[in-house]
Amino acid sequence: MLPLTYAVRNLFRSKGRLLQTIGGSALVVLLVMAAVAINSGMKRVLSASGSPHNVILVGAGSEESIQRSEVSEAAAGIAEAAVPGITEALGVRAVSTEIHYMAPVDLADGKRVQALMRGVTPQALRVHPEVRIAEGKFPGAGEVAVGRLAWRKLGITAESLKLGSFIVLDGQKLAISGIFSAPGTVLESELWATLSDLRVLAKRDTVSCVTLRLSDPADFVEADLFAKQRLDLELSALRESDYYARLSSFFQPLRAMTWITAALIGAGAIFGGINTLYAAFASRVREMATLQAIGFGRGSLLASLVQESVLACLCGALFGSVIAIVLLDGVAVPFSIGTFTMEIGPEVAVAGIVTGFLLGLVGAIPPAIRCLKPALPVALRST
Amino acid sequence: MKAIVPIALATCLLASCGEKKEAAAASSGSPTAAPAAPSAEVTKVTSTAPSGTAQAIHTVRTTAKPGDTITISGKIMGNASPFVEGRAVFILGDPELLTSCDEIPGDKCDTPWDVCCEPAEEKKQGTATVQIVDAEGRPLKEGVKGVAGLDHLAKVTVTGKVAEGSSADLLVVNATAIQAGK
Repeated sequence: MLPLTYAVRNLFRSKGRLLQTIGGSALVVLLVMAAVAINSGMKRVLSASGSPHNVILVGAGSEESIQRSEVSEAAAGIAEAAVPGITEALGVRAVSTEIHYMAPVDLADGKRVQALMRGVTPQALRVHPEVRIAEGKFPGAGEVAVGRLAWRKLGITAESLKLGSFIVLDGQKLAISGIFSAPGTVLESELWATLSDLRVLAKRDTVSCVTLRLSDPADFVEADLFAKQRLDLELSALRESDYYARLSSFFQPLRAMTWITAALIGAGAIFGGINTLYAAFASRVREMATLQAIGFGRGSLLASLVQESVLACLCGALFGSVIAIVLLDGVAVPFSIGTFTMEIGPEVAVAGIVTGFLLGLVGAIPPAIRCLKPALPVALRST
Repeated sequence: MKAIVPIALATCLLASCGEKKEAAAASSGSPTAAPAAPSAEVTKVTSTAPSGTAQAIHTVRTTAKPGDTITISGKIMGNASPFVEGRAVFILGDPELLTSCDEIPGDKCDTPWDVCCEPAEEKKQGTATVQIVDAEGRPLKEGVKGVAGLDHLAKVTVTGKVAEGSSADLLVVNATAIQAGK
């Protein structure tokens, strides 16, 4: 077996080629890490947004979109009384009546953006316990509370949604009374107004959904039973976690696109690497033949050539990982229903290292085999 | 070493196929395991033949009062998931008022029992809740999907008492006899 130092020394024989390999693999590793971070970030935010304890009662036939759903407001009271197993605190059952409304809002600087509004009552805090008012207060009439990451979703500066500022919805000025957080969920990309304000502004006489928080997720069957025993209310019971899981599968093509892009660029890098190494290894046929002549087997020479390539690509993976940590970690990415944060965690780091290793391995094997293929007498006479 | 990449790709593809099958099974509501043996109460109801002439749901709902004994017929449809998991309850749809998607030429709907093409008002008028209840009047805590031919779009005739709380807008039947046919 050739010593590792032989492979390390050979790395620096052509500094230009080394830089090219490191740069190429760093780029591919960066892209793969970005793809993994985007995928896991989007999945994480959607799965965290839906609690298995929560049941959403939506209008029958509107299971795919709460925004299209219409539920009579009386249904909330009937459900509250009829469904057993709802969480109760201080004699109040956790039932929240909500309006979900996507609408253009005007900001103080005159800019118009499309925002996801939620009309709520203070009961919303009982069914969404992850929501915390970070600054200011829960909205009252003529007020709105904004999610911590709403500015990112709306593509504006955080300053535009600061406490004391205002937004205009359908000509009605709503003062920003609070900023709330709901870590890791799509809720913190939303704007919350009072249910009564939003009912007027959205010109609705129904609500979008009724959310119930159950003490035991297994009691979902009771809510489903209620919906099917009260067909007159035209309701459908959904687990909140299932609703967001379905949204997650809706975004699967988008996530697949990130993978396809990374795969295409990765394939390009592999072919580019193979091409470079064909040329590099072709000039070392006689050197390899000499090493064979003094007793090194083809297997150890192949391993040494692969070592060179893998070492260079792992250096690239290291650079790519550093760039990913500096540029991508913690970056908030908006998508149609919210914002997720990219996290360069262990899963993403492993994906980057594996990619770097595979780039080195797959890119080196064909040129190395070609380099070692000629018979020894022929190889020794090659120029 | 060369074999690693094809093996990994094949593994990924096989894993994806598995996920799709599971997802399809979940969305279609197909049973993934054989249903448990029905209880004596359910067996009694499903093995009793309905009596009297079966009426259409949309006509009987306007005249029936809580406590009346009625016989209705229809198909298990009218909702994306017409069975309640773990409860002896299902939704019966009126074929005179509702057309399941499988009967619409060219319709390739995965869940034809949801009668998604019908207006909400027709669905409201053309559906009834059928349940098998215990002595206290509560639905039995066992699913009936797959029991005695009860499945999506199965034609079913039910005899039972109109439950308390039923009205012209809401028909709930406590079944005493259920017969599922083709």
